[in-house]
Amino acid sequence: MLKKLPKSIKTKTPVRKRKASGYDGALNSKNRLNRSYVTTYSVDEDNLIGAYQAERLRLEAKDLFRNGIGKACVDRFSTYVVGTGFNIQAKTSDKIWNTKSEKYFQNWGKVADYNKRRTWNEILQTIVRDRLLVGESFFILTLWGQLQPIEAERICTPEPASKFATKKIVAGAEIVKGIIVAWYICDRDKYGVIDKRKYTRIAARDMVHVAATWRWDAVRSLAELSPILDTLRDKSEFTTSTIISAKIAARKSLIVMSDSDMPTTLPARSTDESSSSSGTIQKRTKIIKTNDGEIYYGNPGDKLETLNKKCQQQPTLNLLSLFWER
Amino acid sequence: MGISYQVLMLELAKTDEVQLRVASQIFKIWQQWLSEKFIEKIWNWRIAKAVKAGDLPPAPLDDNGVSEWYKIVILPPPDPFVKDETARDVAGFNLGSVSITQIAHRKSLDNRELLSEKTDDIGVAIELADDLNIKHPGQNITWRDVINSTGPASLSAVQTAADQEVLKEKDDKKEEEEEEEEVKKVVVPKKSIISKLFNRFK
Repeated sequence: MLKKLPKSIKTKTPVRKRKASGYDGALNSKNRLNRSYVTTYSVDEDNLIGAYQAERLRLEAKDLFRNGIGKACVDRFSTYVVGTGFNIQAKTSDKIWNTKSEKYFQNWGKVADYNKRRTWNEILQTIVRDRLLVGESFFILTLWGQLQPIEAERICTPEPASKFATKKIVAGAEIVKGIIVAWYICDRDKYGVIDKRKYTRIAARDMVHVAATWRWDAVRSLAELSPILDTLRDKSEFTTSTIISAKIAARKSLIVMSDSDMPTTLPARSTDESSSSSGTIQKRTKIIKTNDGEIYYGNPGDKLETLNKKCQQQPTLNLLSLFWER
Repeated sequence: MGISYQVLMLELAKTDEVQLRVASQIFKIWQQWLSEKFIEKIWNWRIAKAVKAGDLPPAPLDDNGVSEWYKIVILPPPDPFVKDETARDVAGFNLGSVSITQIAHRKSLDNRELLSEKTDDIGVAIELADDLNIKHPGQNITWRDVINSTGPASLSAVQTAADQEVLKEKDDKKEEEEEEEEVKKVVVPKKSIISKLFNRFK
């Protein structure tokens, strides 16, 4: 083995040369910002997207489902995937056994949900919906043969961390030599908030984790909609704005102009030829803008005018334009 | 998600066939994922548990002595985006490029289920044809007349013609037999009388 480097190779501190990348994609340019070290670091997926970011993504996806365009997409998608249900057929060499087991499984499907809330097909639809909105689903395989669904956000690393210092726990998954051996399910308190100090450890063999990760090392899975959440939000806002705009444009405003005497408490203008003491202004025209469905009782001699076309096209500026023209 | 907005929102007037095919493919991938990641696992767990508890008899063993309980086929639901492909299937079936199994799988059935539906229909048609033949003798109505799906140049049309020939032959045979029987009926009493007389004089 070489113990000492020959003199010719020995050098002082190596001079660092700034190397140009062979690929444009690895550099910033005037027109485009390279995103690595902005959103992406060279770490594993579970550390890159921490528990906080994962939770925010889930909340945003769920909010879009509740209030935005997300519900239509997600519900329709899950309906198409599950449709009228899957036909499961046993294919052993014994036909009688096949029929028996198929019937048994069908009947079990009716009572499969431990919470007694969902049918077999509804469970399947919820799994698809979960993959889109949350990223994954968890089911405990109970001893008595039912499935107990667990919301993904309840699977998290318990606290205090010092108690688990000897174990490798990644986002609620206990890992030994790269294999998940157990999951930690945290309880909810009476307000529905997750209490990380109260938890149950479930062996991985007693749990079904339905997910689709895209990186080899990733343990947890993120909402399938995560990359397009902003696009969906924009689309949703755009749709709302278009509808509001159409609603306003469809309104027909009328201006009622009245020259008749009217009581007013306004102080007279210097240009008015009126007696300020009487409190009656004779030469000013009263203008009333009516809205949809509004009933206005006019006086004899009142004139009705519609807004000019320019104003109708810019409904929010109707009155401003009207006064501007005058 | 891999599918167009129009397909997802059911704005089908704005979609083309390619978009529908892509959507169909995406849904198949998701169905496959659901089958492998969930349904199959749950079947294996639940059926094994039922066998262990004695709710189900033990599954048969394969040649290596391993239980076959895990052997299943999961057929996805019918594809809502596939148009009625019956005409294309007929051509494909005659060419050999489409099988009954493939057609059945598209309908979320296996070949046995699909064909057994057909044989059930044929059974009913045979019974009805027999009833009709009793009501209206001589009309030679077959089950193929009841399930009337024959075109002029189709295989079924040829079969119907063949059926009619067979029926005619059967009718001819029947008539001949009946004639023979009538002759026998006439002869036998005479014979019997002669034999009686013969026996008496004997």
